[in-house]
Amino acid sequence: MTVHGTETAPPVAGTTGAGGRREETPTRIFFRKPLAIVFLVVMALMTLVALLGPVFGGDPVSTAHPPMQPPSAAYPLGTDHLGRDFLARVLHGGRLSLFVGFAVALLSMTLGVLIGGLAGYYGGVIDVALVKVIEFFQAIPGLVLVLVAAAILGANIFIIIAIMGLTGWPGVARIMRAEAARVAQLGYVEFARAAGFPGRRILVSDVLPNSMAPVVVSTTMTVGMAILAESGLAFLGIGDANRATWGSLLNDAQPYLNSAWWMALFPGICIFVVVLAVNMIGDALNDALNPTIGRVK
Amino acid sequence: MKAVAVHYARLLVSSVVLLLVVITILFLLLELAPGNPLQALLGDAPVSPEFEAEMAARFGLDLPLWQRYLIYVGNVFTGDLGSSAISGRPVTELIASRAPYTLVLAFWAMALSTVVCIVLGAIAGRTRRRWLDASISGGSLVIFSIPNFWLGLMLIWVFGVLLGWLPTAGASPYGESGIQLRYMLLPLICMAMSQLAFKTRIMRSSMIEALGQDYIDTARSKGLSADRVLYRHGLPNAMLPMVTIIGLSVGGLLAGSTLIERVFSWPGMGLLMVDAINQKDNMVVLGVTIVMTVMILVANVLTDIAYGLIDPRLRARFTRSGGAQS
Amino acid sequence: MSSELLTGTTEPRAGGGPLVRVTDLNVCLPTGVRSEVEAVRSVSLHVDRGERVGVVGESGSGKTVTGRAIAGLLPTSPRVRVRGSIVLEGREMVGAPPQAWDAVRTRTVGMIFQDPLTYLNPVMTIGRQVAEAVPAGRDRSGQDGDVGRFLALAGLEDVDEVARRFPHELSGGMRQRVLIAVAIAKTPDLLVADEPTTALDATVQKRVLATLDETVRRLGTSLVLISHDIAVVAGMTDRIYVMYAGRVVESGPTADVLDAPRHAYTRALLRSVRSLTDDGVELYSIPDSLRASWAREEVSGAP
Repeated sequence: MTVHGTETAPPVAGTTGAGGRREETPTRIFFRKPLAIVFLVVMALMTLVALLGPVFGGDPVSTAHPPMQPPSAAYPLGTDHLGRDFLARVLHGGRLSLFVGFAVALLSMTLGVLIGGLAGYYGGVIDVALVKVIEFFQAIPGLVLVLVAAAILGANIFIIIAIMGLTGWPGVARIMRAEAARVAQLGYVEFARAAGFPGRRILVSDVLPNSMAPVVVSTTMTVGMAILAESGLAFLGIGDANRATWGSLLNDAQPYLNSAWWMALFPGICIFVVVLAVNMIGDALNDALNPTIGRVK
Repeated sequence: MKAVAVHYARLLVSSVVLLLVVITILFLLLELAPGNPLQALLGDAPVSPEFEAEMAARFGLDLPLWQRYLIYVGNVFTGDLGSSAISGRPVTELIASRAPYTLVLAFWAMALSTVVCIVLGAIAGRTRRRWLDASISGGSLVIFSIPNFWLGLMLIWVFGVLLGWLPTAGASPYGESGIQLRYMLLPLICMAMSQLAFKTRIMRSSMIEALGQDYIDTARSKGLSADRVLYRHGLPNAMLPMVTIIGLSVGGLLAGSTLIERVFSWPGMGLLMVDAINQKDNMVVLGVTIVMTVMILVANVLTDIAYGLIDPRLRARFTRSGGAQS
Repeated sequence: MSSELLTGTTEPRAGGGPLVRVTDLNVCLPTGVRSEVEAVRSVSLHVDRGERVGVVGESGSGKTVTGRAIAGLLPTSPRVRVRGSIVLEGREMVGAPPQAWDAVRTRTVGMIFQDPLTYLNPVMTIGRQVAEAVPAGRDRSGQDGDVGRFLALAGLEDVDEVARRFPHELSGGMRQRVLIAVAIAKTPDLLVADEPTTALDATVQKRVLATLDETVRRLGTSLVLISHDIAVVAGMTDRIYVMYAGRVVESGPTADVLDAPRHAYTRALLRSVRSLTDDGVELYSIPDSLRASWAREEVSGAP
């Protein structure tokens, strides 16, 4: 027979943290990513520019400048076909895009959280009915409908926000529903229910905070999608004709691709950078809020 | 066999209901639209009240809302989408002449992006080289963030204006019909790019998930080479969810076609719709929307059928009713 | 079963030493982005040719990780760290190149897994999954070839039909038999069975165990049977290792260890089994204070 273990007594068994022994909070994981911080700063800067653009950006409608000037010291981004300072137009153009992005995301999130939360938490008939509604909104060609509705109802910015918000919530609702259903099963929520706390209060105070992580990630991504969609609509000429947005600047630019490349380049870069920043932040949030072991196999 | 029939009957019914809801929404939108349709018909010229009434009766504008709704639904389901207010041609005819352009472009964009996404996603999902995975998944996030119509403008600027290599508008030289490959190249790249970006991300996570499954251990325990484990066990399972993703992407492709066709003056349904929007030719706008909806619904049904054929767990629907539990 | 299948495997092969000798094995597995767990700590064990060895312990005791280490099926992540020695048929496997493990997995060691559904590829027929495990050069075709024979050897009937089916179309017991067929299709020298019947209900469990027992006898294969259930191991093994918290706390001939357990943990393990089987009333659960002391104590069987 064999003889085992000639060495001294080991420590009590259990998980031994090798490497970082500090607790891994989402915030810490998020801020460990240099890219996430970079894009957070970029996003903050772009938001600041969009907010302050109208203040220091100069006059975006004055046609007092020579038309079709390439970028120069006097006109850092050149001038457009009507002799308007393009820098001023780009600075003004961000405001609406960002506003639409955040407003749509907020609206989608609110609707999604509300509908998904109710379905997941209460289950039963309510769930079945709401899931049907969710499935319907996921199956309809949302983008096409937004286009049609905006075209027929007129290009009021609030109508556009409302329609995009109305078609954008099912993704959040699905996540929220799954989370709420899971949380509703947890011991302490059942306990709270058994203890006689009203359902609505439990939903708000217990289910919501626990379900927020994936919802926040999805909402972040919605901001990017909404900005892209708004620019697309504006590019097609659907939008407030009196207000320059990055999308409508690109609409202006297309006929002059041969002669005024700057008119197409800069607004596009702005949309791209903002959407990229939002998506990168969302990606980093996702990694931070849903840490996985990574690939073990 | 019965279960299969029930399943597809349900799918068909829900598709028709969905189409009905979309048509209803469109009808209501049209009712809500600012402006009087009669006014639009008559123009600004002063006319006698008798002529106005005659025109209203002729176009059914004197009927109550619900009657006009039923007539509209009836027309749509019998294939009558009305006619263009601009050219006077039937909307179905207009769409029929444009749809092939959109479908060819969308099909090849889908095929191209699917093949490339499977390759890239599989590489990113299996590799242990951090930089490779990071550049593929980071790169797809970057591409995903590019507005595709702007990408189109940049492609035109670089390949059309600066380099002069490729034509930048239309599907063939002016005056000719049909599609020429040289003309299709830029719009195709543009359309495939954004598709590729999100599909690659999904393929990557699907691959990671498949490679983390227990049956991969069984395959390894047989002494199969790493490549064989990957190609015979990992990849087929990772590709299953892609069937659904491809089906779901049809909606995005068609919606995106409006932008891309506008950028490249590609004479498809998307451009037809954009032009109709600009000319306030509402019947054409609605017609294109309805046809696109039908295409999306057909794609959903085809996806369901394809999934059922490919996944043996669902294939049972076709052969036996469920698995034999012994 | 045909007898030519068995020739060459019942004869002990060259080399006098044990088939497997594990010395001072340590395995660290990652559990999070930066954390890891020492799943196996200085474990030593050996399996002789034709011998049947049991490894018992509760979940988290390191028994599965030990079994996987022997079968070369630890996760391939570079963050998995293995120290110590695993000698298989005279060859040192710790630090050996992947091709060496491929050879071992192709011919020498087979593994039977715990969960019969998740361990079978859902989109591949049973026949193909078994055929893949048959070494090259043998007849891989269905009914008359090795696939059919091994399925039958694993106790399945109507093997042609089974070979055409997909995993979801079989019952749990049948799937477990398929996993056995996969593991024995290479006529291995050693079978590592990790909780092979835990996922099955009691009556099926008994029958599958009987099949495993018979198959191992016929093929003359050595067996490492891993289980949390001391009753399962008791009837099928010659020697036994008791693991707790990543360590072997007691070992020896199965009968000796069960009759006269020397380590407190083994006694507790036995007591919990008896209390369940004898009258089914008293449920003995192990107090935490005892656990801490077991982890420091090691007992080995006297020669």
